[in-house]
Amino acid sequence: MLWPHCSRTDSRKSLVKGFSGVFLLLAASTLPAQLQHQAIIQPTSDYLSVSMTVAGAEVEALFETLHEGMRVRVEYRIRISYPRDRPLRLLGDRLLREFRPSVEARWDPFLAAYVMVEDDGTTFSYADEATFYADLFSLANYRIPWSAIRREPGLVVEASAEYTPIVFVPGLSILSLFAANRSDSSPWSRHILDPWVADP
Amino acid sequence: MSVRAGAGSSLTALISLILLYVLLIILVLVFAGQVLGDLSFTRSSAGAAVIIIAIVFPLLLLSFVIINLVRLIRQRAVGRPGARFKSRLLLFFAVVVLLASVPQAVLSVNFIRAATDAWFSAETGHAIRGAQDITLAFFGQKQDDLKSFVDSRFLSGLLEGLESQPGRVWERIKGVNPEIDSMQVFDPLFQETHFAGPEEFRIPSLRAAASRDGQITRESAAAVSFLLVRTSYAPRGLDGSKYTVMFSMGLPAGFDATAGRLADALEFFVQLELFQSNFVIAIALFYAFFAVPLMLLSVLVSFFLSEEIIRPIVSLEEATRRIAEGDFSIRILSRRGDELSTLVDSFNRMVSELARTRTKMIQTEKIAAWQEIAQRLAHEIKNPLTPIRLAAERSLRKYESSSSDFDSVFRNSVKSIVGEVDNLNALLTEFREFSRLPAPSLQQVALRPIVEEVAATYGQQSRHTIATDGVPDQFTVDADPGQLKQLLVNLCKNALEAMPDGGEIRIAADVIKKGEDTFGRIQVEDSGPGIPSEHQESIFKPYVTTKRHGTGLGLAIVERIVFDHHGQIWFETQPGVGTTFYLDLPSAADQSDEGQE
Repeated sequence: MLWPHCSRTDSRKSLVKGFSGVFLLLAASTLPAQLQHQAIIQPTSDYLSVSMTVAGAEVEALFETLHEGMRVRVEYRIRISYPRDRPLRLLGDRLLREFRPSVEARWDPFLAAYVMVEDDGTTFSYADEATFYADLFSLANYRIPWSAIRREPGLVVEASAEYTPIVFVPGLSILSLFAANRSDSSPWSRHILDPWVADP
Repeated sequence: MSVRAGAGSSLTALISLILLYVLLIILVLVFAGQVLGDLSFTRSSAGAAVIIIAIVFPLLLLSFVIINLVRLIRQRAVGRPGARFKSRLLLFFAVVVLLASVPQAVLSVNFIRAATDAWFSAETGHAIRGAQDITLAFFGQKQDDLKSFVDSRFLSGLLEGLESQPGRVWERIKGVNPEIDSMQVFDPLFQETHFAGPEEFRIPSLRAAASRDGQITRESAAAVSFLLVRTSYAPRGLDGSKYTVMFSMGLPAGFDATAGRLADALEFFVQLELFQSNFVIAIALFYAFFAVPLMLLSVLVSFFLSEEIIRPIVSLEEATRRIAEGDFSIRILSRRGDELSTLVDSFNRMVSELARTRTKMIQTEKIAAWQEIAQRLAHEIKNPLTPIRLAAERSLRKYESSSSDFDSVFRNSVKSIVGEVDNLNALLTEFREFSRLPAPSLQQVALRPIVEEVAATYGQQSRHTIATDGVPDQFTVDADPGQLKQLLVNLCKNALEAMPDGGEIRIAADVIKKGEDTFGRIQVEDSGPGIPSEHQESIFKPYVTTKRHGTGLGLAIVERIVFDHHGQIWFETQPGVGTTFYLDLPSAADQSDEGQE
């Protein structure tokens, strides 16, 4: 359960004020993440395809946030690594690239639709809540060209998703330092691939 | 010899403080500029560096403050001159900083709270929401109007002749509904056949083909936005093939921008409403994040300033101490121009004057002393010369008169002359001892054996007793053994001579502490008549004596020995009761078990 939604149940008057609010924030930050994801890593001859489906975000709170005029954000984090040589293996994988495709969604009362904007500016609008929810929490066939990463056996792909239930407008971005809109992240999933196997 | 006061040795500290201050200001500017803007910069390496510096910086300052505090505490513990004054100054500075900071912090946070309360009150929220509702209502009305128009059963009649005379159709439509701003007609193959209205409302054929009949969409082109709806018209004789007609209804200029601003304002307002208490706390913490380093920096500046202030004072203290020790060559260096330098200049002039005066005094004293010694010597030597001359002249007269008692007179005269010569010899011996008293060779000496030896020598006279049981067996002092013995001998002789009819001398010793210093205190007490008040001030002066055959050097030698041992001597006397001499000799040995004062 994410704190902002907990506090906005019936009335904003019920907001926990002052330091007790900070205490609750700190307490909430210790809660285990509930976001989960499934990732499908599909190497092709030209690119590496990554698809993800995220579950666990609270549906009711999501739509309540959107209808109050705020935005939510889902960021998909994809790390491409290679294992180190044996003497340095204790240091973990060597990170090569990290990709962070993201989408922000809001409710447009003029369109009476949910508007989803990808990080490249591509905009989609949805009148149907279910379709919108499914698209918001899924990354379909995100393509990482082999030219962007080195194609070697033992490629490690790690994936995670981060859901920000309230995207702060810039003037309030200071609150993110205090985790007031604590993002929820899914655990990293690790996929070890041998891209040459998929190579025709 | 010179002591430096207020010089430029602290230039490095000053530059460091200025650099720290500049760094703090840069941090405040960078961070404050971003913290209320876009914090995503913290994800960049530069942002991470700023964050790290912002965290490390206060810790660095805190460590500097702690180091300086520990140093100050140590200085106070070892009694460094000026340490207490510096502590007091530091406390004053800290209080001033607090007095200045606390109201400012309270004011700032309350200002932010009051500002957020005022700007984002419920009324403001109602206004924003109301504005958005009105905008939405207007927008909905426009949609309804357009929808009603295209759903109207009269529309098909208005569109009659569209395929051949679209211009006339457009005139009819404008006549019926002036709100319609444009009409775009596509043939069954979605080739545009006619367009009427502002050019900005024209849409591509593909866009028209993708839309559905009756579906109203909001379109934006250039600076205008409009509502667009599609309808179909099947002219007679075309076998059911339909023309597509797109009607537009323009929205007011800036509608999109206004709607966007309203949405942004509402979003900001809702978030602030939601997190207002956290926002105030965040701002307060953010304020503290930079106020605390600023206060720490102020404390560091206080250390610097207090050091600058006390340095001349410490120099003065050190200089006065050296002067007290007899070093009149000391001078204090100072920067010119301030009041302290004036004080230092005055001090230096005073020391110079003191040195000149002291030199003159020493010379005068030397001359006076030699004059006194010469007079005394002349007097003391002259005194026995008279009886010698008288005895010789008497013997000569008896001899010339062949007196019958010449033998007895001659014998008595010679005895008298020899006695006076012995006195002269004793006088000159004592004088030589006084003038040639060597520097003491200090060592740890057990006092009791010396005291017992003196008591054995001078306590044999039947009418006198010397009690030594007041001297502990293990009592030691740092002294020259020979001089210590001479000191005790002189004091005992002085006491014995003061009690010609007999009496008791008590010698005692104890350990005392004066501050951090340990002294061995020796007391020599007699039961004599006491020292007359008219002699009390001069008993330690050479050649001052109340006894007929005294040289007046005994107590002077005692005082000289005590002085050479860096000790102190004084006495207490009571007429008819006796006199007690007290001698405090410095001692390095810890004999604290044996008594303390």
